[in-house]
Amino acid sequence: MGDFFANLVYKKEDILTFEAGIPGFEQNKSFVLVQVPDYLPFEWLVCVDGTHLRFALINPLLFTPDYEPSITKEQLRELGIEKPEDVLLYAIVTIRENPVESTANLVGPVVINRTKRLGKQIIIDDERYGTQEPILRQQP
Amino acid sequence: MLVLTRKLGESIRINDDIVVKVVDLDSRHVKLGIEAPRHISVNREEIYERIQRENKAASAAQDQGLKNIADALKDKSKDA
Repeated sequence: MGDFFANLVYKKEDILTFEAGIPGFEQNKSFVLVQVPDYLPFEWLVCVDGTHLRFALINPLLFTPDYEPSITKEQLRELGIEKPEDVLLYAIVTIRENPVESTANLVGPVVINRTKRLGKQIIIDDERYGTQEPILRQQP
Repeated sequence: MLVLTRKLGESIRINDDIVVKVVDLDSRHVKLGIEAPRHISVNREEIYERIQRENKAASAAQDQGLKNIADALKDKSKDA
């Protein structure tokens, strides 16, 4: 995508604030969620503070339908989440050299409060999930 | 880095609401007990570092290939 997002047009109210940044990018706190039709169901979390930074995201339920990250209600409340409709849940995708082997990080889901425009990558303590979960599983 | 020496059973208070206590001790391990408000996440550093590394790899990858897997996922859901 390179400079695909360089001229991204967005509204101020589209901005999502990640108050703690994202691990590895703790100083980057302003992002926008972008859907590019060719890439759906993947979406893009694009940094809008001037840094050339973006992450591919996927809804983990699309490939792990029983995904149940152990996020506490206090953690949700810290994001101002009051009802299920406020929540968007994503996993960050690591695109591999062979793209169909791309993986998603299920240990650090990205939780977004779409109403209050806040986000955070929450690290969950769960041995069932890994940081490199294959998105396309081989059919048994 | 602030370095404090604690004996077995002693604690450190961080801010007003986080306490770290030396719960057990032997020649190779320190067992730490942590009291913190429930909205504050506490993780082993190596887990945090693993997340950092994965995020850095995710941010650096080439995007074009994502179209292939996007199509594969769309096909998969059609078959389902």
